[in-house]
Amino acid sequence: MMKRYFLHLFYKEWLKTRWAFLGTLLLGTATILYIFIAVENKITLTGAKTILLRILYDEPPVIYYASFLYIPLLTALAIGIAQYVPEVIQKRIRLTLHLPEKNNILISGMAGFGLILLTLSNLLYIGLFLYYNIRLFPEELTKPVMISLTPWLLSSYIAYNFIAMIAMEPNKWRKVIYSVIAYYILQLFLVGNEPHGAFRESLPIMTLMVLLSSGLVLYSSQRFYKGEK
Amino acid sequence: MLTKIIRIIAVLFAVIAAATVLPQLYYTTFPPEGRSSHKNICYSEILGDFIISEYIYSTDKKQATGQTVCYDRHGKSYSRDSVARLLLLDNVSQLAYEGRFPDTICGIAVTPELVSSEAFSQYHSAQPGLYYGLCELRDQKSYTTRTLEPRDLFRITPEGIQFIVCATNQIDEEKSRLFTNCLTAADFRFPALRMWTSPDKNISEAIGYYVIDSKNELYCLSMNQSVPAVQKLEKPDSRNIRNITFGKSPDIRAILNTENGNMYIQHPDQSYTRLELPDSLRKSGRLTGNLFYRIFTLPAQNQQTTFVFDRNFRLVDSCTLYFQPQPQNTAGIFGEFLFPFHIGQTAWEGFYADWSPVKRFLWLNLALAGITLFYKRRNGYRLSNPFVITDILFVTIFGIYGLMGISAFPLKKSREEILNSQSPEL
Repeated sequence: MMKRYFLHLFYKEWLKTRWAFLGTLLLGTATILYIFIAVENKITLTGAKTILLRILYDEPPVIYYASFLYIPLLTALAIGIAQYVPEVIQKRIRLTLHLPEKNNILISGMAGFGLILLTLSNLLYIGLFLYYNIRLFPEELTKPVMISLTPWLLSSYIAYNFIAMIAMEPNKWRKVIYSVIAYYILQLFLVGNEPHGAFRESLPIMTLMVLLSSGLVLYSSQRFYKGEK
Repeated sequence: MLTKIIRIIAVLFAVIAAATVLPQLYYTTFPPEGRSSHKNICYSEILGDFIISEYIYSTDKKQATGQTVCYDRHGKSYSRDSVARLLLLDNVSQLAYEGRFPDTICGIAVTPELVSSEAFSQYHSAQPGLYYGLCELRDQKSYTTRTLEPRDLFRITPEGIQFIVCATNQIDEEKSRLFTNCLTAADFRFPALRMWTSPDKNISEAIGYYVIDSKNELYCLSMNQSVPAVQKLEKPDSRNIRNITFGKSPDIRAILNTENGNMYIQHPDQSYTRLELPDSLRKSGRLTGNLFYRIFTLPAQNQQTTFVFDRNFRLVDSCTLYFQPQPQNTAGIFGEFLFPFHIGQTAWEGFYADWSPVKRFLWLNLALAGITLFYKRRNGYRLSNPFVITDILFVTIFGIYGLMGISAFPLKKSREEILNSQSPEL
């Protein structure tokens, strides 16, 4: 019975988010392809060794993947907005909340679906990036670059969880306050322009923040359900 | 219950956001520090003593002005003109331009060109720098022909040295085998723990790399006309090497730090001289040199010690310069009252929380906790409720951030609390 609920719920969420998800996935894929086309172009123009030495040891470092910075965030924004905003504005979310199942489970199911989509898109980005990076560069560069990308990928989960929380919040002033908090929390994740492999020490705390943020939507959904102002 | 636990997490997020941005905004608007006096120290080869120059600010009629005063360790003052004549090696360009540069200094015939050619300055870090384990080994003769210009970078793995051709990202098996055999013959134990070379291309070509093998032995690896050259080097002492910087002067091949904080100069003949410096572990410094001396400057908290060595690295003199701690202005003191800590992150050390002195922020935190307690009580919250206690604890510890957090995410009253707060009206 429970399984059927979730299948129906996931199908409903898929119908809402598919175009946003596929659109941002296309944009993300195109960005990664563009990054490596640009790298290959530079290799042709100046030589592979020169480019590799510049990427490794130039000061300030050459962050050839800088245009990827906001892609996971954009994916999270697109999925989150498509999933929650129209449904909350048009009050259709009330139908979901009045199904004969615990609200927390239903909202967790909705958020879980969004997080699964985000994980899929992030895995695709990582896979595509790794494929090209390993093809062009040695592992000594690939490992630190992946560490540099991790906070950007984690930022997508923070953004999604806060979007869900903000969308479900019934009080518009509190929406503003939550948005400000989300903005400054995201600032901690969207760090760049440092040598490859930087912010390695921040990753455990960032991961903990992502895990803790996954329940935030339940706080405002409860307020929404109770009609609190 | 679950919602209330999640609310605590939300409050913590609000605290983190506030502790990140509020101090930043505040200290940008009200800078906590005013102007500081700038001090510099030089060693006079004429006096055989240090001369300290200090730029002193004074505020007169709200107009900030400053002047440079020069004095020695005994407090004797010198005019700027006399300082130029006492620090001949530091003012060579100006004196030569004015035609006042002498023919001899301390009985040695000198020319401006000779003095300039002997001057150098370099930074030595006690901590190893950025290291990816992928390096370029340039041929000692690579400046003669482009055919000796390497197309690859190398790594030293547990299996041996590998040269990676950058254009194909493939390993050059033949070259790798040649170098691996040469290293093995020199008793090198793979993999390498760390490698260093000079940022100067010419020195890097001539010396190659200093490599620490898995047994913590020191080797020099270079390449001459595509043939590997490996040499096992003596270590300065039995301790492991922590960091190496290559010298910019012909009499200094390298500066080495060992893990017990000793610092050594390696000479071109590969002999070592231990510098009579205090424990230099985690201390980085600047080495400058001139015709007569080698001068090492080690900065520390509110002080800087300058050690003067002769050309044979025997200690001649040393002087510690103390900088007065910056007097805090009102904005700085108020900031410490207001903000218990601020959160930030650095690229290599991760997140940090920088706490203000407890005696500064404690009173405001306690006052805010008192206000919170009063508010909760007045609004019918049960003070034995663990979530109410948590709120008060948050405000006591996090101060203004905690108050903002619990205000952004208000605690919902329990059914019992609502009934109790309504009962007097019924």
